[in-house]
Amino acid sequence: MGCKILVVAEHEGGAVRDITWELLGLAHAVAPQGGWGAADIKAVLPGQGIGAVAAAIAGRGAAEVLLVEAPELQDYACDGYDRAIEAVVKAEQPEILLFGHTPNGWDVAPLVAAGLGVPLATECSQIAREDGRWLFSRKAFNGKFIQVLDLGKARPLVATVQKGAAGPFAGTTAGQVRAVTPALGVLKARFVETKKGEAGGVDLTQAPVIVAGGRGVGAADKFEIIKSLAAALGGQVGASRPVTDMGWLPHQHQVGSSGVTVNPKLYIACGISGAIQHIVGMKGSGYIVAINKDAEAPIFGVADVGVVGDLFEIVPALTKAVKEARGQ
Amino acid sequence: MGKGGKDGDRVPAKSFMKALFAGHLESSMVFPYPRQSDEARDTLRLVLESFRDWAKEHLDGAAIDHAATFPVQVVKDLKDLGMLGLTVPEEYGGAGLPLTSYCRVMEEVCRYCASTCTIVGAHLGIGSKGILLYGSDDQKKRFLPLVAKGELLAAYALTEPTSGSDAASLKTRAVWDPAKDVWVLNGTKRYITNGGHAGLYTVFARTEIGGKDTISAFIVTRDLPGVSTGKEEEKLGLKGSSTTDLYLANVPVPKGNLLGEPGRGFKYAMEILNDGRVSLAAGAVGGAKEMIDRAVEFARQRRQFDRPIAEFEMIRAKIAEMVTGTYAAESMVYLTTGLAERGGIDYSIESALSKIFSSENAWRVVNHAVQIAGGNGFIREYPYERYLRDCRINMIFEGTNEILRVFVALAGVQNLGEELKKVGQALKDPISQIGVLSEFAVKKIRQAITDEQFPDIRPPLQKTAARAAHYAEALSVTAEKALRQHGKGIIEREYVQERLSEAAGDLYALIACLSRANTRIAQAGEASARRDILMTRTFGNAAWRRIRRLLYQVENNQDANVTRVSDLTCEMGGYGEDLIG
Amino acid sequence: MKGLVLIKQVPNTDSPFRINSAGTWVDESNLTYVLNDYDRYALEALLRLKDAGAMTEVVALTAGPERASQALRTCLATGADRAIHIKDDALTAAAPLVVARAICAAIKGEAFDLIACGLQADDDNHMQIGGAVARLLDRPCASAAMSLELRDGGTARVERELENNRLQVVDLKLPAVITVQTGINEPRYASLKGIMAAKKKEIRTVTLADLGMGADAIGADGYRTVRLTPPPKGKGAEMLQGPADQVARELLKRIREKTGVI
Repeated sequence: MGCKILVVAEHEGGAVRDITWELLGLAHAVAPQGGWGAADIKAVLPGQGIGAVAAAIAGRGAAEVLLVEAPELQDYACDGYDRAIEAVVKAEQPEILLFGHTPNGWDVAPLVAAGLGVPLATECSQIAREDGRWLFSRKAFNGKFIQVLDLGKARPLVATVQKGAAGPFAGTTAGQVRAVTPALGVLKARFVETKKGEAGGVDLTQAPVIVAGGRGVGAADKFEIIKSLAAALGGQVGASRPVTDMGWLPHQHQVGSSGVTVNPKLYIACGISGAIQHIVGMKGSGYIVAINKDAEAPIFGVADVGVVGDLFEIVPALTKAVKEARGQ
Repeated sequence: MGKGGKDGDRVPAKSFMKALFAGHLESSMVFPYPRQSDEARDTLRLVLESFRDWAKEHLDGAAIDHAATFPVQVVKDLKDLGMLGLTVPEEYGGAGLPLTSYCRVMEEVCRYCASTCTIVGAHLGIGSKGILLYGSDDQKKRFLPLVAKGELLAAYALTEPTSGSDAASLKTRAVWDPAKDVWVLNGTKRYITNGGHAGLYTVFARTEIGGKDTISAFIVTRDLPGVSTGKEEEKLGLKGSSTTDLYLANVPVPKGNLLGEPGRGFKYAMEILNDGRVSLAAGAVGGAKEMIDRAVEFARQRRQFDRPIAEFEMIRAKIAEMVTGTYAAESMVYLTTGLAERGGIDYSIESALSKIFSSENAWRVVNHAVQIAGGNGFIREYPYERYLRDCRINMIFEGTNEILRVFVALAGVQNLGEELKKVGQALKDPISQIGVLSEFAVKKIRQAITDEQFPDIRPPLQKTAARAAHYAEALSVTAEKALRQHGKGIIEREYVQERLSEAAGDLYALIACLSRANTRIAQAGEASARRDILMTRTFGNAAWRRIRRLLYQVENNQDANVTRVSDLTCEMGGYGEDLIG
Repeated sequence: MKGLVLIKQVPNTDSPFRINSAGTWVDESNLTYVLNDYDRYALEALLRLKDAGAMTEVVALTAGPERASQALRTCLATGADRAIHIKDDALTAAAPLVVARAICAAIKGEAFDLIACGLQADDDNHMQIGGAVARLLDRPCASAAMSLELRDGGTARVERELENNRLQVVDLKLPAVITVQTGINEPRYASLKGIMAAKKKEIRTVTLADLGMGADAIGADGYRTVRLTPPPKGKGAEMLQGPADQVARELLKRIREKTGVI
């Protein structure tokens, strides 16, 4: 038995979480660099009553799914999941162990790596072989730089992988599901419930996506198109100073030197010229889209992609495209 | 100014600039550049860190300016942080920060909000300073803990409706009432910073002491009957600070509230301002730094003709002037605070020069920043115009730059006169008698002091240092010539005073830069001091040329024309003739 | 009850960052350092327990070079009772696991009921120390805590931040470890009084050698940063043209490829 790449699968509400397909996609993409094939890629799946989930994964990317079922694993709890995964890793002896960089992934990965006594690379965007070594690319300094890490001699090489680092695995496999029942021991963390966070609070600093409007939006009631795009992308609405000064949006939406500094994965600036006060607050964003009528607007200087045009045409068109893509 | 009170019983403290006017380079007073102890630096770092953490979230200078009202919550926060007791000694519940640290904090406060800087400065820098310097143990115990906690906000009340720069002409009067055992104060104080919110005022009033009309200082608390304040003045800038009249109507001030010795009030008033001025200068340095940061950020970002405007030479020239000037101002401020902390040193000229230089530098810097920002510079949404409005007052308050120039020049030549006296002429009044001094005697002193150089100057700074030494001597020679030419009349010769004080300012700034850069080289090596060397040389090259011109103009000028034009205009009551219609 | 906050001194995020000549990390010569922002929230979480009488002592610990003691001073000025400094210049380049081992060694013999640290450090963004320490000490751990409540029976109830404005509620049996998300509380500022009082508080300094970790503890495992590079970013924006629908499709494609948010 054994495998070369072991993926820690995630599930929720009886369904496989998208990150799992991405991890499998990544595993299949990098396996050839290690001289490995599809048969060397397996998944570990802790949980309870999730046979169907295991089967789905076995059919789409994993040569084998190591299914660890126990009542204590019904919901995520750090020590139970840690022990289940550690046990499987010890049995399978993979070269590479991949977690998703998700709230549960980043929670348990350090426990597993420390339990195994090996280093860990978090929030990786790329895994590649260079001069006979596996190197892990990850953001450092809040995205200002990419750090390329050599995790050294210890095995497995453990990483959490950021969302979108690889496309989801799209092929099919005829994998097996194998149940394993490691001893979990006495557990000290207990899942209580999952609940909605407090409503109403706007915290742009934590938003993965921000769609921001500026003076160019023109009026408070015209912000609906901005809000629609933000909703479609699962993001928050941001604003430049004039917008909050004029009362179109409350102050907590303001991005910039007198508002909040943000670094979302995606920032879409609509009708914002890009005054320096605004730019200092958003230039750290991962990917910046700018839509503005004025081709000379400084916002294009910091944007990754720009559109010169009428935001009242482009924003609704983009909202429609996003909704279609998400099947909303 | 600065001559009030009788101080004959004390040995005059050493003064670097006074010695320089007299032709002596007291290098050991200004080299090496002062450095705080590690412990003081560590404390300062923590204070700055805490202040910044708070300020980032809670000190919105733009909002305070727009609201144009006293920022009550900000002051409460400052009180909770303990910032209102920064300089009050620990034994009275304050943090006991030395002047250098205090100035550095004020720099930081001013970066965020000049109004707040003014509130704190009025409270600590001048409002309560008198108690600290001259208060009795009892007064310190009674008032300083309340000042430190911020329970009593303090204010300094000197100026009056008819008494500004001529502070000694104040009219507020305190009369001793032996029946009630109180001083009864009557009068009006004008433009009192913190006026509307203070609980404690340091008030200067005329008193008759031993049959002589003198000035004394009093601690007046707001709860005393007859104390009231006027409406809030509407101002060009510092809109969040409180500026009001203070009315004293038969206020019975307990005798225990007389500050220090009776009759010495004017001297106290001036000495308090010495420290106040240097912290004001520090605030101006902070404002200038903030504007440099904002302007540079803008200049790098703003693109015209396909490149950042920072690449255009007219913008470069502005940025360079802003930075070298601010570097020089900063160097002066902390050289001066270092002198102050050594004790036993008279730093009144250095403090005045720091205030003049820093306030005018800040004005230039902000003006350049406004220009670099173009149209944005004129728009309220951007910070530039606020800093422009806020920094204007620095050239006016705590001694107008004009009266301070008079003070610098006269204190300088007075000392020069005293120096000349040592030749052996038993002159009672050196300023009036100096004209009779023989050329020979003067030459004799000169010989003793020519060719004085700064010691241990590192190679990259030697040329600049030689210039500084040369013009230090030139200043002394020119001052002495002016003194011989005008004698006592120099008091009226403001054209000359302005040039001498201006040259003295540039010279002190240059020496401060030299000391700072040279010390940095000595301690950290030339590579680490690259920026300092560049700044010092660049500033120095401009400074010595200005000094040369100023000194030349002491004798070669068109002052007569200037007087005529001014007089003519005043006679005509304004501009006069209408060219077209 | 005793609490331990694990903190780090990190470069001010406003600093002008440049890559060092070796290309392996940032050039540290022109950086100014501050207490990691997340750690301020972790410290505050413990100080609140102390204010409420649930905790008798709050200790701050850092592992880092000489300058890192400044961050400990900040903690002491803010209200921590004492501090421990694992001092070694090599720690900057160490794997988080090695740092976690050093931390565990340094607190050996002390019984901390609750260990807190920030969710991540603003420099290396590793997000590992809390979990690794928890595992090495065989304690439960909860990351990204948005609330913390001590309950009867020796447990801590923690709400962990999930995606999409959801929270996961977990009970941890004490002793436990939490990593704290910003927003859990509003950290206090060091008062002047606290700053003056901090001068009298103790910072215990230990070296890696004191902890029985030799020079080979770091790097011997081959763990290293191979290089640090600026993120790939084109010069200026790629400009899209055409009818709105077409532009929208192009935008969508790029958003998908570059951000993974869809």
